[in-house]
Amino acid sequence: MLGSSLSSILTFKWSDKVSDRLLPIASRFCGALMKVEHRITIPNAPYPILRVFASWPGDAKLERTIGPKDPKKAMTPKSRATVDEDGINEIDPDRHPLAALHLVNFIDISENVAKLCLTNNTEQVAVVFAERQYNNKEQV
Amino acid sequence: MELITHISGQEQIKVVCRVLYGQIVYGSYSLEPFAPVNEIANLIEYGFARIRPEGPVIDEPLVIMAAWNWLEMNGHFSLLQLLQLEVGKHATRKNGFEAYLTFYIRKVFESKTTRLNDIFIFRSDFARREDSDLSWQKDEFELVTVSTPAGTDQQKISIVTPSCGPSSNVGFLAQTDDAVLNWISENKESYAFCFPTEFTGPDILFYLRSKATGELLLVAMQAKNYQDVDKQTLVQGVQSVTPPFWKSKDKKVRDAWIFTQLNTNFQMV
Repeated sequence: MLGSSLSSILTFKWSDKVSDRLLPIASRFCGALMKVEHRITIPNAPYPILRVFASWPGDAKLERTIGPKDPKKAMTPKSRATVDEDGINEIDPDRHPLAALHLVNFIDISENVAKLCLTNNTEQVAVVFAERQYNNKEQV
Repeated sequence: MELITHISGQEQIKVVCRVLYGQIVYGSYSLEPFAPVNEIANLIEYGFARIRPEGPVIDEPLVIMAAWNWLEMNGHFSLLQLLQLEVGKHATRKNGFEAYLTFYIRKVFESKTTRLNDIFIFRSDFARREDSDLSWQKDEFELVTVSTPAGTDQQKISIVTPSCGPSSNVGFLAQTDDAVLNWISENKESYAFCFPTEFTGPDILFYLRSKATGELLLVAMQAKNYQDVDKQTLVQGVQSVTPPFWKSKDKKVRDAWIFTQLNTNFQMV
């Protein structure tokens, strides 16, 4: 009931603010994402989306998007001239999984592929994942 | 193979190289951005290119295959070589690092043992859930195209590797928001990768399929060829791949997104 009435209010605001041209694009975009069939289930996330920040050669250091490690530091007032990045408590509250490029494997695989191309080796290659190989050796 | 022997001179080979790889990586067929008029005339004379209503193109499958084989066998003209040379280059809608990433993604998912968390490192809060509700991050995945062929409602899923796929062109440079929408839901041309418009947040979109469950995952990727990633760049990049991933400067467009998100959630309740 509440949802229905809020929806009506939003619809009313929509007609005031947004042209008719935009509504179909926005709703079709959402609709397209919602309609992906046989999709991965991600708890509390509406779409089957994996977000990837792929940086190279610099490491993405994704942990910086979780929030400040020291809450007291976040409360410290700073000059307006400086960007108070640490003051943002929850930078990324989104529920869709977030990942970065696995740099060790990216570099290793890229080098292997380049070597194979130079020797005109066009056979399918089982890609060796450096880190997993390393871990397996550790377990032995 | 014999077709390529008709081409003489480095310049003509370079033209074929750029045209062919432009088609493969970005799905654009036009010869005009790549070749001067006299080169186009030569390519038509040799039977490589032909005139279509949209302009001169190289679109004969046999010609493409012959040229592709020849170029790949001559290392310095291979697709990888070209992509590596252009990794640091950036044009308005074409970024060398993004193009290389599509090559890498195709190559890496060709492997028989491709676990998702071998390709991507999940942020710790998501990685910790690998034994619970996000266990699929340890699963093996494959790169696929998701399309709905004309005249049917049936979704068609095709596996893509560097050596096979439903289309010779793997990338699609979307020119409009509608084109991005069509790629997500219909993709009749079966492109594996979509490079969305500049007003859509992600740089690259592609579908993966879990080998264990057959379930689909849409990957929204932001690519940064940076030596160091500062925090502001990181935060903006993450926002750009976060639904509703729309970075239009037009507030009305952003409002449209927020409205639709809210309305969709209410309908779900």
